[in-house]
Amino acid sequence: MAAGKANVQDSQRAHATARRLRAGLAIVMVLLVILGARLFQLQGLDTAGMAQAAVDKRLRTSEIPALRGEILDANNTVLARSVQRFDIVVDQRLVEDFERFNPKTKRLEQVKIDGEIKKLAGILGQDVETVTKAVVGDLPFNYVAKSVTPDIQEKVENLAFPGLQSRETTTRSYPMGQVAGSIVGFLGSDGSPLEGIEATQQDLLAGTSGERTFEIGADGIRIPVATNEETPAEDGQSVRLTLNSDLQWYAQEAIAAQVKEYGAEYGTIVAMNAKTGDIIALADSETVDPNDPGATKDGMRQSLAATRAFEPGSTTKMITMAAAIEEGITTPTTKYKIPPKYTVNNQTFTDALPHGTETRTTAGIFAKSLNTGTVMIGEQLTRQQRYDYLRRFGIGEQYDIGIPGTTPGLLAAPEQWDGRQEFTVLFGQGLAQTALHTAAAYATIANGGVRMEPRLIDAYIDPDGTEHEVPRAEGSRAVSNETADQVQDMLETMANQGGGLPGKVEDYRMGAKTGTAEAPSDDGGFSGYTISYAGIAPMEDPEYVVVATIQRPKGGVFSLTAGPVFKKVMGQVLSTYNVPPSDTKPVKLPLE
Amino acid sequence: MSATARQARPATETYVHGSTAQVLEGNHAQPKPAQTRRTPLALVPSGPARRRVPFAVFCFAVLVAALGSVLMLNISVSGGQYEIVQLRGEQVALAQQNEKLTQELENRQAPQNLAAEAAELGMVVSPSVGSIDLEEMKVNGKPQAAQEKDGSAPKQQVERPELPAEVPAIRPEAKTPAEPVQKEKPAAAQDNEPAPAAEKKPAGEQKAVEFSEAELNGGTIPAPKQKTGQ
Repeated sequence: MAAGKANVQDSQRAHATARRLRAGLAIVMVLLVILGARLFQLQGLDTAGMAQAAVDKRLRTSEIPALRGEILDANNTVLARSVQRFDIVVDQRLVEDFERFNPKTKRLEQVKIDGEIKKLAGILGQDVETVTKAVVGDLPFNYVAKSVTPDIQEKVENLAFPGLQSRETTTRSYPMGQVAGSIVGFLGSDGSPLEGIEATQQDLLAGTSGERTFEIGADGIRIPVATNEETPAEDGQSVRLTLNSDLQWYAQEAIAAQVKEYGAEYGTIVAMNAKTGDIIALADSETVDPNDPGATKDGMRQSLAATRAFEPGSTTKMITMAAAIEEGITTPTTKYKIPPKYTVNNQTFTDALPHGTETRTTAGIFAKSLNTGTVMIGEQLTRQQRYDYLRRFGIGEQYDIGIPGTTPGLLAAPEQWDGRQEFTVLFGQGLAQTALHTAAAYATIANGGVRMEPRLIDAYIDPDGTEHEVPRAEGSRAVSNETADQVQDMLETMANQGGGLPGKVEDYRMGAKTGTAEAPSDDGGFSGYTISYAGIAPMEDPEYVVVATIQRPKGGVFSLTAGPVFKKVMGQVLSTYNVPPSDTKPVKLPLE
Repeated sequence: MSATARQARPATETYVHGSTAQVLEGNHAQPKPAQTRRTPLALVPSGPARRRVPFAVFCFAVLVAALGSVLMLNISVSGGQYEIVQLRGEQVALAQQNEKLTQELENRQAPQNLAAEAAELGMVVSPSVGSIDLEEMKVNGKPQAAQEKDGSAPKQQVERPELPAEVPAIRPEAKTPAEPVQKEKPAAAQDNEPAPAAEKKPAGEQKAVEFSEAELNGGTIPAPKQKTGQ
C-alpha cells in the first residue's frame, strides 16, 4: 500500500515538474513571440523610418563638374581653354609646431612651424609675412593661394604642412592674350561669362554637370559596397570661329601702331572673305586681354569694329554709284560737267578740294570722290530707291554674328529724312553704321552683287570630336552681276589713279575707296574726322575685303590716310591665302 | 564454457545450469551447487578497427588549402591595390605634365610671342612677295631679297601673353591673401620664369613619377591617400 502511495506521489511530482517545465517553456515562447513581433515591427515595418534616416545620414551627393568647351580659331588653334588649378586652403587651428618621423634618423623629431612657413612661402613665391598672416590664426578655413598650377600644388602637398589642403578648381586660360580678346570674351571672378563668345555661347560651352551619389561612414571614409550611382557629366561643346589668329594679330598690331602714330581715338580693321561671308579678322587698336579684363577701361572691352557706329562718309558713294548704274541712270564713262558748288533744293554742296568747273566721267567723280558729282547723279534716284539700295547693301541691318553689343547703326526711314539729309546719305553723312557694315557692303560688290551674311562662328564641336558646321545663310542679291563688274572697275580705277593710291598693294590688282567723314560729337555738331579705306582684291576674281577705319586722327585730314595700314593688312591677307600676284593689267577707266 | 571456467571445476562434473535440459539419471553422489556462478566479466578485445586517419588528414588538408588560398587571394589583391595607387599616381603626374607642356606650347604659339622670338633671332618681314608658277616655270611678281633693315618687324603694340602662372595668383602686395584673384603674374616674375622653365623642361622630367621622402616615410611604397568624395 505504501508503495502505491509513493508511486502516486512520484507521479504527482513528475506531473508537477512537467507542468513547470511547460509553463516555463510557454513563458519563453511568449517572450520570443514578443521579441519577434518587435523585430518585425522595427525591421520589417519600420514605422519610424529609421533605416531611411540612417541612409540619408550616410548618403552624399557630389557634383561632377563638366569641362567647359574650348574656343578655337579657323585652324583649330586654341583661343580659350579651361585648365586645372588648385586652391591652397588651411585650417589655421591645426597650424603649430609638430612632431614628425624622420626616416633617415628613424626617430621622431620636433619641427618648428616657422621653418615650414618659410619653405611654403618659397614654394608659393610669396613673401613670408603674407603667408604667415594667412596661415596663423583661429579660422577653420582660409585661403593661402588661389589658382595655383599643379606643379606647385604637388610641391605644397609634399611639404606635409599641418592643416594645409589643396582643392581642385578650374581656371579659364586664354593662351593668345589680347589677340581676338574682345571677341572671345572673358569670365567674371565667379566664373560667369561677361562678354564675347563666352557669354553668347554660354549654354553650349558650359555643358551639363553630372552627379555622384555615394555613402560615407562616420569616419569620413567612403563605404565601398554601398550605393554608388553616377551620372556622368556632359562636357561642353567647343566653338570654332572663322578668325585667322595670325591675321587677327597682324591687323591688331598694324592698326594699333597707326592709331598711335596719328594720335587717334581708336581704329579698327575688318577683314572678310567676300565669297563666304567668313570674318577673317575683327581688329581694334585697343583690345582687352581676357586673362586680365580689369586692365582695360570699361567701354573698351567689346569689339569696336562691330559695336561702334560712326558716319561712314565717302565709302557710301560706292553704294550710290551701284544704285545709279543698276537703275540705268548712269554708266562708268558717262560725262558730267561739275561746277565748284552744286545746289539742289536749296541745298548747296561743295567738295573737299575746291575746283573750278570741270568735266568728269562717273568713274572720275568716284575716283576724285566729288560730293557735287555724286549728288548730281544720286538725286535722280528717288528717296525710296536710295533707302532700298542702302538696305540691300546691309546698311541698317543688325548683324548677329555671336558677340553681344552689335548694333544696326542708324538709318532713318526715307520719309523722315530732312531736306539736307536726303542728299547727304548719298555720300555717307546723316546715317551711321559700324565698320562691319562697311565691310559687308564692299563684300557684296566683290561677290558679284550678292551680299553674304557675315559669319563669325564656323562650327560647334562635340566633346567626342563630331563637328556641326553652322550652315551658311543664303546670300541676297543687291545688284546684278554686270553692275557689280562695272563698280569693280571704278574701284580699281580709284585705286590706281585716284585717292586710293596710298593703299595700293604692289603686285596685285585691287580696288579701293577712301572715306573721310565728319565725326559727330556728343553735344551736337561735329568734331574731328573719321578716315577709312575700304578695298577688295584680287580684281581678277575678288575674294578678300579689308576695311580700315581710324576715328578722330590728329592732324590735317587731307594728309592723313588709312591707306598704309590697309596696304599692310591686305598684303598679309593675300600672302597668307597664297593668292598669286596678278599678271593681268589693271583696268583704268577714263576720269574725264 | 571458457577455458578458465573449465579450470575452476573438476572435469568429471556433468551438470548444467540454467537450461531446461533433462537431469540425467546417474551419478547423484554430488548435491547441486547452491548457486550458479556467473562468469566474471572480462574485456573482449575488439576486432580490427576501421581506418579513419585518411579522412581526418583530408579534412585538415582541405582546411589548410582553403586558408591558404584565401591568404594568397588577399596578398594578390593587396599587391594589386598598391600597384593601382602607384599607376594612378603616375597617370595623374603624366596628365599634369602633359597639360603643362600643352600650355607652354600654346603660349609659344601665340603670334605675338612668335613674332618677338623671330625678331630676336634676326628675322625680318619680307618686303615683297612672288609666286612660282610651276606650269609655266616662271616667277610672278617682283620678289626681292629681304635686307637686314628692310621690312621692319611690327613694333609689339599687342602685348605678349605670359606663360601659365608659375607663381600663384595672390599678389604679395594684397592686403589679405583672400582677396579676389588676379590672374597675371607680376611683370618682374615673367622675365625670370620663361628662362628657368625652358631649362627645366628638357632636363630631368623623363621619369614619370617619383615619390618624395615624406611620402615614402622610410619605405618604398607610399600609403594610399584618401581623398574626400571619391
